[in-house]
Amino acid sequence: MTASSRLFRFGLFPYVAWLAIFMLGPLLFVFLVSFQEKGLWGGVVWTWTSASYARALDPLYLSVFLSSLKLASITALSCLALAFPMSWFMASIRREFRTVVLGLVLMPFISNFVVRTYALKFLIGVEGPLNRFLTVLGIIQTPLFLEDVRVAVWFGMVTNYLPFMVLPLYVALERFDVGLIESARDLGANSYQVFVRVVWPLAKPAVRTGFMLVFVPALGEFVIPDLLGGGKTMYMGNLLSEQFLKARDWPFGASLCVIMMSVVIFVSLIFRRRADL
Amino acid sequence: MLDLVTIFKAFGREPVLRDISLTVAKGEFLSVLGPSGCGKSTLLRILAGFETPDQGRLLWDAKDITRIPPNRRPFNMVFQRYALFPHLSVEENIGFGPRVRGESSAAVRQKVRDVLELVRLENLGGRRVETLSGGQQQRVALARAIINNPQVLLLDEPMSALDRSLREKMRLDILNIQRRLGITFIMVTHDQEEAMAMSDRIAIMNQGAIEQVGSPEVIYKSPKTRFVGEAIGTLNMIELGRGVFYVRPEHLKLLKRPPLDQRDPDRILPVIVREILFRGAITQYVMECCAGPMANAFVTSVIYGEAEEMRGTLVDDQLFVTWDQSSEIHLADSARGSQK
Repeated sequence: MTASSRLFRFGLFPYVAWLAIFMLGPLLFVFLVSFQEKGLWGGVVWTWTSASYARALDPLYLSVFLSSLKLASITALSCLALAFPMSWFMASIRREFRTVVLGLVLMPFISNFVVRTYALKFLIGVEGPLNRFLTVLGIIQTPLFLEDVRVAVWFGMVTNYLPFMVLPLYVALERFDVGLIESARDLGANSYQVFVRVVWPLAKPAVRTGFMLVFVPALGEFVIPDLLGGGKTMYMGNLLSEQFLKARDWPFGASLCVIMMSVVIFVSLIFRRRADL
Repeated sequence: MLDLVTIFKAFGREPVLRDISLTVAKGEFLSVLGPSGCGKSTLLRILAGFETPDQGRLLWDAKDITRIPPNRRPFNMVFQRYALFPHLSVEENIGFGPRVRGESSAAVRQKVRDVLELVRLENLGGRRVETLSGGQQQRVALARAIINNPQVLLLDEPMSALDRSLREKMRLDILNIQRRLGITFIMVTHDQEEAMAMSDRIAIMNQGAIEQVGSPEVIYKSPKTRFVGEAIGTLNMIELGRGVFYVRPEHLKLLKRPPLDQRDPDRILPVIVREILFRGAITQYVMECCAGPMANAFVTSVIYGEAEEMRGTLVDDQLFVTWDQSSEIHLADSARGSQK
């Protein structure tokens, strides 16, 4: 081992120690708690049981879980559909403009999340400017989003998570060799074939990264559904945070957390295994 | 037959091609030779369909194809850096063309096998392209183009990324394939040796225009401009009282003593040796004319083959240079094209 690589390993120590103490520690705690009984007024009674897991399999919670999966998937796919052309555009414009556009794309990061989400709620609300504008123009008769708050949640989620999709895609497409597109054209491929046979397969690793970056946090998101859904929607994130903040059922919350993590790990394993995904 | 009719193209205000007209016969190997920035690559891109000329037309068998997109032209291109698909194997790269045109996989497989044999890569079909050497990648690029049975194969500096010994072998391989298939080849290059060795005809380009088109021999023996003369081979410029003219190095005779036969005193030049460069089969003498009755005379450089007689010549020695009248090249433009 050379001196420099020894130094590198030594430099790695703080990171590993940090994670071991502040991340693995709590996780281990969560795992243990998920197998205990809940205390009467919160907390944990240290008695081993798998009751929490049995409860989590209740169809009621299963449907919550499924709607979370659906929301996270739709969010990730919507982000992908919006971000891919944008990333392509960013990768193809002049270098000095890219920084400006990149700044615009990162807007959600710069502005405060809660304030921005409230502003969105106001904008798309029943009495909000958007609905009024459309009503005045005669495009709609009854206000939009009234009966389905899920649409509002979807707006908020996509807006918030877009940068996580744009960034990996942009990095990948920026390095994309335009010569490959020309040679595909030259060999007889039409635009659709160029995309399906050349651009998409080469962008796929970045698509996968972006998908996971959006999908995973979206699966556990509870603030956006709370703010935009007005408490009428129930997703895993909400269910989970409720167990700790309101219901005071720590073991049940912990078991939900363990189940969700397992699902995420399972999904990412599928992504890694199957090269065609 | 491929006809280029007064092709004009400008990028912004900068004209890169100024009314290029050229006819390429079927089965011909034509090279477009010129320094970088002369517009030769743009010309090739117009032929492939990646660029559309601002003016002028492109005719294939008298049919106007100027605006036909690259994927519907019967032409294929070998790209300078090959542009192989990194996510596909050698076989999949080569089979790309037939596959996107919807040929059955059995037919594609058979074709790929045939072409792999033609470029001598039979055993590498399953490999990933990034594991191949430069020469192998170049052959995959060639195979990927010719599998489509193009009417014209366009080659953009096909050997510029290869080292010298490989390049010479590759030249023979490409020529061999061209002979066997009888396809029209149009190659863009800045390598004069390559152009001379491979082409039926060479088009010499300078600043967006073709200065001369002809067989390598004709261009070498009677260049029309100084630019052409220097684009192919070396020219010695000799400036005497009667004017400026040029002599190819192999037509200059070097002598240690002034010749006894002084019948043609106009063609004997005393010179001083400035450099002697041993180059194997030949030795290059760089000489300067010294004073005397022809003080204006000037010899830039000479490549001399018969080393025997000249053995023992040192830098700063005085020599004499003679030549035949018939080997003098007189050009109309002595001033143009001297930015080399």
